[in-house]
Amino acid sequence: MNNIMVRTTGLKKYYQLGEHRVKALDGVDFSVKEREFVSIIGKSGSGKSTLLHLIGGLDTPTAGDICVDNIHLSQMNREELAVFRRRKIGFIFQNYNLVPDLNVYENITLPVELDGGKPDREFIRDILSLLQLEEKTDALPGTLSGGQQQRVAIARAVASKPGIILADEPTGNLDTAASHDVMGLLKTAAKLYEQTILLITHDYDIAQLADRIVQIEDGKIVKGGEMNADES
Amino acid sequence: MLMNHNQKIVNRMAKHTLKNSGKKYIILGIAIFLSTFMLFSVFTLGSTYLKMQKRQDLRLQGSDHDASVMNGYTEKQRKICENFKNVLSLGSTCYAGYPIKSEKSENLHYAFIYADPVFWNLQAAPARTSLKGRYPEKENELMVTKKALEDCGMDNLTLGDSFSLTYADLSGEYTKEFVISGIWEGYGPKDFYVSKAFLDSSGYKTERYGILYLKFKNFIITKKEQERLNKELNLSIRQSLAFSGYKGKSVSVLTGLIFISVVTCLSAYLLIHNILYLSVQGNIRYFGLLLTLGMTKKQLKRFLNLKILWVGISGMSAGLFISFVSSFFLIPAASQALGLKADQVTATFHPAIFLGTILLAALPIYLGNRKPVKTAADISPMEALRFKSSSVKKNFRKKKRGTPLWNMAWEQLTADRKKTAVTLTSLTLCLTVFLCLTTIINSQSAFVSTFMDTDLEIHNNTQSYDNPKEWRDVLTNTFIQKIESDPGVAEVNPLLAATIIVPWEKDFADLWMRSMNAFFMDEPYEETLSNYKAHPENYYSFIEGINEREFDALNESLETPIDRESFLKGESCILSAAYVLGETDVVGKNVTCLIEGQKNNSHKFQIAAAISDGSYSMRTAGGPVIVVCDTFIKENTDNFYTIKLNVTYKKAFDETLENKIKNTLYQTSRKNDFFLESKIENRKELEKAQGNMAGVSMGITCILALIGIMNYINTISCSIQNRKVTLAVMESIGMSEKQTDKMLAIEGLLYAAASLGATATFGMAIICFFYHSVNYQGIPLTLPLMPVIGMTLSVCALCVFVPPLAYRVIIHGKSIVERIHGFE
Repeated sequence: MNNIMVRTTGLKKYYQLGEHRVKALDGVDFSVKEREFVSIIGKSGSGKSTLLHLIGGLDTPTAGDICVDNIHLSQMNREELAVFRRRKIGFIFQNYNLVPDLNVYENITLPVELDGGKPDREFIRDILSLLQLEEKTDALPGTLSGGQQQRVAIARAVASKPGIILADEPTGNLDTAASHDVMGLLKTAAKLYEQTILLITHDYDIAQLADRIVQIEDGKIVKGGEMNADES
Repeated sequence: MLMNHNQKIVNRMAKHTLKNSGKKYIILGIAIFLSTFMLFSVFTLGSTYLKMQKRQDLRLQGSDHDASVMNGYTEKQRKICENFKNVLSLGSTCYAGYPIKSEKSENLHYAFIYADPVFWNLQAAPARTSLKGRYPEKENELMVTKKALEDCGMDNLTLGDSFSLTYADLSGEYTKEFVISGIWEGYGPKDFYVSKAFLDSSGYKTERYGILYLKFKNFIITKKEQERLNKELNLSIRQSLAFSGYKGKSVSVLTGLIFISVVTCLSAYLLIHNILYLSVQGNIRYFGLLLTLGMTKKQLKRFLNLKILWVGISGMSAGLFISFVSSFFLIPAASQALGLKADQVTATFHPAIFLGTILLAALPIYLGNRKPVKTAADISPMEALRFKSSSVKKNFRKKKRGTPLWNMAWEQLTADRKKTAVTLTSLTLCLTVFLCLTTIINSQSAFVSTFMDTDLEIHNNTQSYDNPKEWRDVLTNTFIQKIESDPGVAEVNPLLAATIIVPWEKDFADLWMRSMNAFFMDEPYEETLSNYKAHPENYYSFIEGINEREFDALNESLETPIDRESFLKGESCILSAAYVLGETDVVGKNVTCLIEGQKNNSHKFQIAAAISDGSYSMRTAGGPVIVVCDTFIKENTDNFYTIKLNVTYKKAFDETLENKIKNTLYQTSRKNDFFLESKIENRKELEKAQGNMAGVSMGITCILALIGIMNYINTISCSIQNRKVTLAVMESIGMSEKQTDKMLAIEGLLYAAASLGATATFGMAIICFFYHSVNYQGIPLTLPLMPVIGMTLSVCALCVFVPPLAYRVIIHGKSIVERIHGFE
């Protein structure tokens, strides 16, 4: 039986916009088991990205608890959160968000090097091969296509062998062919390296690739929030 | 379709942008304000300094001239001066004797001077404050001052009155009744001016006693021109051509002020250009949007130009106003700090200064604005909308060795080389100016050390009395031993002297006396020669004795060191005041002397070296002064004096020790029996003369530093602003705050290292050039250690701390998500 990788309890995130209080998340109870691939779908402003950011330690909740790989994020300071992110989380953004001054290889190995470690050359070579980036190691991000840039982002996300990959609309800027290409590679890589995937998308076709689909509306999970009883 | 360049909307938009994004424009306004302030202050200081220095020189000299030919001139030389390029006026004066006494006073220290009409009416006029009557025409007429009349005991006399004066001229002493033809007041020597008729009757000739005064049309007379005039005049050994120090010093000061103005303009240009360049880069998408919405290129240019015009006008107006007001107290202090001794220095304003400041302050604005505006206007709407401010221009890059933080920091420095170069140039200029000014100030202190070899010189003052019978040996052995025994004293070198007679002989003595006659005497050489041959004792001089230590130091300073043994044995000597001989070489010749008051007193020395400086010169009756070993004097004469003691301290500038020596001196001798020359006192004098020079320099450096720092902060802030998302992304993938701070600090450190490196190379070249162009005292260039260390630490601290601080301000406590979303 798989262990729980992510668990949120009564998770709330409120924003103050002028005189209005916006409830981005309003009491979310949600869990994901190890090596599970979960898609989170919902309309714009439903709170799906906020949930991802809170799980990734990029933002702090107004209330509630987040536990990732048995680590309670609320007990960590900013420095500890940074270390947590670089060791436990792999991020993939819609805008790729690669460092423009670093070449493909340097972008991929950055999280490992930030942690003071030496990149596992064999492992990196395997990732590059898997993501079909061997020819592009010295290229700078600005010279790559959208699909190629997103593949670099996937490589970067898996390079430090994190337990969980958080992907925020990774195909949002890509055409259909490239989207399927990227998703296929992401799924293969995660399976190969036994990683949990939390994917945000509003493309239902892409969401279908996941083991489970969670639907979120107005800051609340309306469908698929709990795992199957036998699995849990 | 006709284009409609509607200006109203553009004006309104420009006003609106200025109001809402004021921060950037405030920095721009401050930069323009500072550069205007600096330029106006520098120009006003320059103009005031020149005016006051000219006034000071005019008052000291008593006439307005740039060069003078002294100790007589020939008619041919006068013609050469008249025809010399750029000579505006040529005046002359001639010595015509001196008054000895009046009926009521016997203590007159004046001269009779004849001034030609050019000198009196043109060159001396600016130094006069009042003039009554006219210049003397008859032989018995005099032009006087009230002060001179007071000294004659006749202060009640006025124009047309007459009084009796006993005077001397070449033919003898006379007592005569003089009529006051004029009374003048003003600056310069208060001598009695006489008529041409008086000069003719006095026997004094312009060939020997005349002075020519040259006033040039040009402000600067080049070294080459000076040398050409000197060569053309073919001066005799007695004559000399001197150029007024005012122009020399003014050129140095002007060079400095021009240098500072250029640096100010350049710094301001770099900052303005950098701000606008970065501002345009950051707003390209916005401009693209405006172009898409239908704004014409002309309107966009006007939109951008209007903003800088308003900021420029505000900054310049504020700069002009503040600098004008502050000039009233800043300029007098600064002028005095630059060496002016005038009691009341008032700032000089001229419309040209206002105009020049406006033009020079506007130039960097115009130049700095032109390129960014062109870039903004030339971009197509689509290009602009797609534009993403990225410093990366390359397609690929090989992986670099080293840690990623250092690599990324280095990438930032090399990515936009132009931007980096501008910032580095600005910082380097500021550091160079600071180093240049501190080096010059420091060199002034070093001047005392170079100027004086010893810490204290104690001179036997009785030796300067005209009557040798009044001379006394005040620097006794007991006194010398007392000083030597003090543990703080490193060494004491006495200079001994005894009177000698050098009888005529056809070789050296003849050469010497012939030169002395040409240099100082009025009679023909034949006359001097016969007197010299008959009574050599009337032309007495001195033999001086120095100890081994002083000999070694002196020998080291000679161009060709002499044989030590021969000097110590008393076989050779060094000839003092050899300038009298001009080019004639007497080394190797023998000098024979008789030591006064000794039997068997004839001694012969070979002249081993001849020196021209004043270290060993004494007032003689015409004979040469020779320097020998002190043991020779001690062994061969009983009548010698210690005329000077050179005292060196173990600890430099030991004021306690010096006071102790002075007390000992006051206890053993009368106060007037000696005079002291102290390195400590000289330094104090110099510090007093320097006044607030350091303050002025610091003021100038501070303004330039402020511009340089603003430029650096602006560049760093824009660079971080552009990388805000990248930095947030890096944080999202695990970069900690400490690592971000470290990376930004490394970037700053690289800036510091690069600017210090540029200062150490290019900056030093500028400092060397500038230092040597103003170093008229010939002091070797030495960088002051403490300011260099202070500067290095300050630059490093500034460069390292600014980027992390700027980052804090820019992210303003926003979370990573907010920063990433801010971009999306």
